[in-house]
Amino acid sequence: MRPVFIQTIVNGLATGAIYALTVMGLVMIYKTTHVLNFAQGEKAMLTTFIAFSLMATPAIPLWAAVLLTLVAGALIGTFVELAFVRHVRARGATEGTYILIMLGLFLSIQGVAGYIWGNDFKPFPRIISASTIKLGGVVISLEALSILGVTFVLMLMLYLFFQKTRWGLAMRALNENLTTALLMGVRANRIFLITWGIACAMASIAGLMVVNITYLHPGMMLPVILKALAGAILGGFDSYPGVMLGCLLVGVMESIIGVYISTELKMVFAFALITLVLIVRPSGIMGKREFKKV
Amino acid sequence: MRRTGMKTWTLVFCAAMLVLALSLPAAAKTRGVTKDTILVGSYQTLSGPAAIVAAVGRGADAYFKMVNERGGIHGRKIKFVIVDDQLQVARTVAAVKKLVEQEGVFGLAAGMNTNGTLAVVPYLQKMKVPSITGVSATECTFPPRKYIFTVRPVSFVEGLALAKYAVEHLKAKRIAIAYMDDGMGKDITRAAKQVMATYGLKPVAEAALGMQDVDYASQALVIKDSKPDLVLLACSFRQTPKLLVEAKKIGLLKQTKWLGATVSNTPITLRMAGKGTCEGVYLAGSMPAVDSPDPKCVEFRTYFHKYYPKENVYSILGMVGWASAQVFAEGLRRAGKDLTVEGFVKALESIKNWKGSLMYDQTYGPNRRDGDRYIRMCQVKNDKIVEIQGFFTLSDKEAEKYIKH
Repeated sequence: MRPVFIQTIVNGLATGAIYALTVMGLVMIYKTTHVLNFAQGEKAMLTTFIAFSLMATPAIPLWAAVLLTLVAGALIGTFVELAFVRHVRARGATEGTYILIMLGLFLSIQGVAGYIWGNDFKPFPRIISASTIKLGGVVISLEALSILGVTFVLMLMLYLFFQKTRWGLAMRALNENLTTALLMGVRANRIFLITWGIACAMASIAGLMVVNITYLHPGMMLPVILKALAGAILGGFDSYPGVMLGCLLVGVMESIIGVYISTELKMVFAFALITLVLIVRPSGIMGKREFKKV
Repeated sequence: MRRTGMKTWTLVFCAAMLVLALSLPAAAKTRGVTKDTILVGSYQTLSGPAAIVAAVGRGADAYFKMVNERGGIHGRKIKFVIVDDQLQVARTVAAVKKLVEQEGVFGLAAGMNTNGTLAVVPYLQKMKVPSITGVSATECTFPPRKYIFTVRPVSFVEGLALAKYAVEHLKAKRIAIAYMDDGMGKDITRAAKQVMATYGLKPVAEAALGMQDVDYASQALVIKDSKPDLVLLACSFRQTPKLLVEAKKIGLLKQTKWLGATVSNTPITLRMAGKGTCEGVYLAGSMPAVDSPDPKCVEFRTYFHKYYPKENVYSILGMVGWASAQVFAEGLRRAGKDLTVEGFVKALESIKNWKGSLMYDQTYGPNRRDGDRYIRMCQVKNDKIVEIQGFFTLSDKEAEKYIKH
């Protein structure tokens, strides 16, 4: 196989891993609360700006800055749940209400970040080395390997969390049937709060990884989240391995089309292919088919 | 009976005189101009993901504020109104209609949104609103339209100059083109290909740099595979560093020469790419360097910082806005105290080889609406952008030949 082809696949996998990392928290919130959190990418951007400010403080070492960023992410998530989502849920909000709230948050976070840190592009201090490894004719950057590694580890942790912990079990129960879960004694409010906290802490990790590829600015997550969502839908929104697979496929498809067909058409082709797959299998590659009793 | 008739005629006469008296100043009045003010408007991207471009409007605003501080123009102060268009064409159209029909502006300055600017051209022509833009889209000023001007070299002219420099000075034989997937990138590419064809050359690769692409790994690979001796970067400071970083990863960076367009000629490109990455890259420029000791640049930085202390003074975007306002103000000065739209347009057309703005040279005429056709060449040395060749241009004849073609 030509090194250029292998390089194309490797590049695609690295890009796909970024999509997967970004969308995982979004899927987690959706699976537990049925809220499509459009603002997940913007939360990642906001926490990356927080990390940027923390890293600029000489008294705070790098590891502490990263840790504090995760805490900040979790706090932002719990704040959103407490201040917005819980209130409207108590008043019987529809899916439309949630969409509007998330869109509002999306725009507000972008505006606030621009106001505080400015709208210009900022270089972010490297937390992953820029060095590369050469295998045959293929170059693999440490960044790409780290992103792939972090994504796989997080996915494994999520799997174990959902399968092996009481909180994970409660989240799955809430996803299956809210009323039954409540009757079984699941404390929904607490579980929702934890879900939002964990998911937004994951957004912080995604932001810290993505900023190595893009640059720090209020619009940095927009192209990522769009394709990440496409990947999640392609793979199957209710399956973590499916989401991972879908995102990796989007990354690889984009890369192959960009190199072998046209760089100008890579997004168009990738999305056309996704549409075709969804026509054949609307629930995504690994998503569960939903059947309703008549 | 006769007395009543007299009275009626007197009343009719007085009413006619009153109508005439009221209508006379109305006929002489120019929209947006009063005894002591001139209302100038602008549409700018003040919010949303592309709000970095707002520096253009701030640059123009800082210049008008400086002019006002120094007494205004012919005794009139400039009132500058900016409306947010969020870089969305529909909003630009709405913003311009608001500025013209509700605010009643005399003209527009420093419009920067390319697609939005193109969308409002017919309306501005119809309403006879002069607009001095900072856009470089070729179709904005080719063919020339009476009320639409630009202070920057248009992309097509820039593409001609870049390709000529690549072939004649850098002796490039295998040129790959990486272009921003928009009007500007495509214009530069089209012009470069025309020039290359006259030397019997064709691009060895063309790679589109999409705005929504997370990285440019595949583009770097396509370029590497074509084995170029020069890569022409028809893109901005948003794409150039990303592509260079990817090129560095796969060992392409040092294998070829890199020649970038004017919109990449900013320290932001170097900062984003990281230390040492841009070393040796050639960058075209249409203005002096952002940190130039040129008194005109010092004046820009002083006043930009004075009115916008939170903004980065080393801002190429701020400089574009400032330059647009400079040309606008020069037009107002030349138009004289009795300001009319037609007089203003004529005054702008009288500007020939004017070196009073941040741009190198401003020349307009009855059939010319692009003010500047000069490019200077710089190179990155020790992580600084250094000028290696002063401003050069294609002869008007040469440029016209390619443009017509």
